[in-house]
Amino acid sequence: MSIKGKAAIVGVAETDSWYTPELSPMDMMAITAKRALDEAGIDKSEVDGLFSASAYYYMSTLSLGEYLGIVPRYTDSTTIGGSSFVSHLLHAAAAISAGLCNVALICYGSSQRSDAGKLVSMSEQNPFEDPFGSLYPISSYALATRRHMAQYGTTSEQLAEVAVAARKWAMKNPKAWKREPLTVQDVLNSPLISSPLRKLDCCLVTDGGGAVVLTSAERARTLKQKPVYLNGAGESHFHRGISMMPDLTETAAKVSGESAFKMAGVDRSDIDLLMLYDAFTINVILFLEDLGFCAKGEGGPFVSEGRIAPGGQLAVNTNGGGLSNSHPGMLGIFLIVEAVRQLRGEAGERQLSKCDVALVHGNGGTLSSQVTAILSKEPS
Amino acid sequence: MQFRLVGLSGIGRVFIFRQFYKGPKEKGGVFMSVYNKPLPAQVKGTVTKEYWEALKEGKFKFQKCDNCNTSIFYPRVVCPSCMSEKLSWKEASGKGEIYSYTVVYKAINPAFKEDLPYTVGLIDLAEGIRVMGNIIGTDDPESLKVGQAVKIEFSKVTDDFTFPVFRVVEEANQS
Ligand SMILES: [Zn+2]
Repeated sequence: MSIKGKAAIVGVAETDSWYTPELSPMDMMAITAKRALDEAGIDKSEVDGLFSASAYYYMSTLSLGEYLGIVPRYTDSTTIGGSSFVSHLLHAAAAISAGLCNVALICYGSSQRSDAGKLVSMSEQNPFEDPFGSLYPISSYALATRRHMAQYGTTSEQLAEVAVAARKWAMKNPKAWKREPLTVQDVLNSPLISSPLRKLDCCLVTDGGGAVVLTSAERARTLKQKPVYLNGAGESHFHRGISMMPDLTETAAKVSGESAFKMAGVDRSDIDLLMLYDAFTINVILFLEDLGFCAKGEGGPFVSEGRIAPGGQLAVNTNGGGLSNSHPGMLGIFLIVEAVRQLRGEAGERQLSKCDVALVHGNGGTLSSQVTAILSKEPS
Repeated sequence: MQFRLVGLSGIGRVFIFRQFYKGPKEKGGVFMSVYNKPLPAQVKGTVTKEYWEALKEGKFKFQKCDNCNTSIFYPRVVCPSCMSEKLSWKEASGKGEIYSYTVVYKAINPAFKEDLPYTVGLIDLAEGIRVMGNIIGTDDPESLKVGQAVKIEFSKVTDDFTFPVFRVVEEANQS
């Protein structure tokens, strides 16, 4: 039995702005939950599956259910970092296919920017890493970057190309946090934070919330939005702390991607849009390789010459991603929202001329949890 | 001599009531300050205690599985390869090479500010385990090379904790 095409996204929403000091993280979840349900045309009373992850609420679906007055039959606060919400898609589709719930609501909210940029975290201590002043999480990604450079000759210019492509997409997105033009030289001129990563290799710090409503494919066809089907999904992880990652140039995206492609029964060439979790520029290079869009080690040259920028051969992170659109602590839900809007044809100036199948890839921790989902306009 | 009794860091951190000798900054006096960087939480009688105690004696210890011979780090009570509970402690030679490194230019925790820029490395020890630690012994950390040889040293930071640090081996001494 497969969950392929059994569930569909029927409502999405995100907060209007990436700086909302007047809203608590839970307020953001609530307001986007309302909008996503309104968009779907589903009453709150029908929500019987609740999904959330948070750095603010230790038992996040409990807080969410209490705030919204929702009594679920299925509840899942799986927190595996920024990829959690892509993981929730997979878990929700499985629960819906198994008849454990009918309408799943996935929510996220973070006031990270209003909290003055403090990285809010409930992370436990790592006695084998913390004493050495490794900046969490930047230094972990920097270690992976350095190794990739040494092993494959990846350059700072190639990393900068990722940031520049994201900015070019963001300039087509009126809501993006950063919209002023950016050059490779600008990125290279930005200060080193944890070498070889510079300030402009790093994602933004913003506020923001989002919500996604998922239901059965049958129900989805009776609702007002064009359904976006979950045709493939997979998740995995190799490690928690970076010092335990077996090979810093290869992530568990290799495993999650294989599972997702196998389930969906599509090829890389069928994918019109990739939404890749770009907490740092190296992420995009690693995920393009591990998901099979280029060979291992060739991610640097692959992202060069504008290949992933507007007008390039492969559309990546069309809203500007975590590097230029928004990054409120965890990015997963916003990757899903953009993919759905592109698949529905609602992406405005940045709308792709053809977008039938999209891949959403979430990352969590320090290149740790990896979750891939393949979304499509058709249920097969 | 003046001692200041001091504070704590956040949740999951130990309370630190230690003094740390920082050297005579003013004529005729010795300044005492605290070691306020993160320290491992209470290790009590757990398996990791053997590791921390060995460091205090200038030894880097790791485990080897009696059943499948896998080298294991960090310390565990079952082998992550075969799940055997029969694990033996070994002492590492202290020789290794840089698997990767990063130079940190910005302190999020103010306790590290005075060290900037400092180098955090992942070191592959000859015995087949990977360890994080600071790399010392170079004025130009950005010129370090992945694959470069390092050797272990021991840095006592408090009476309770000594950490491994890795010194770059001079090329002339590498053969
Ligand atoms: Zn074993």
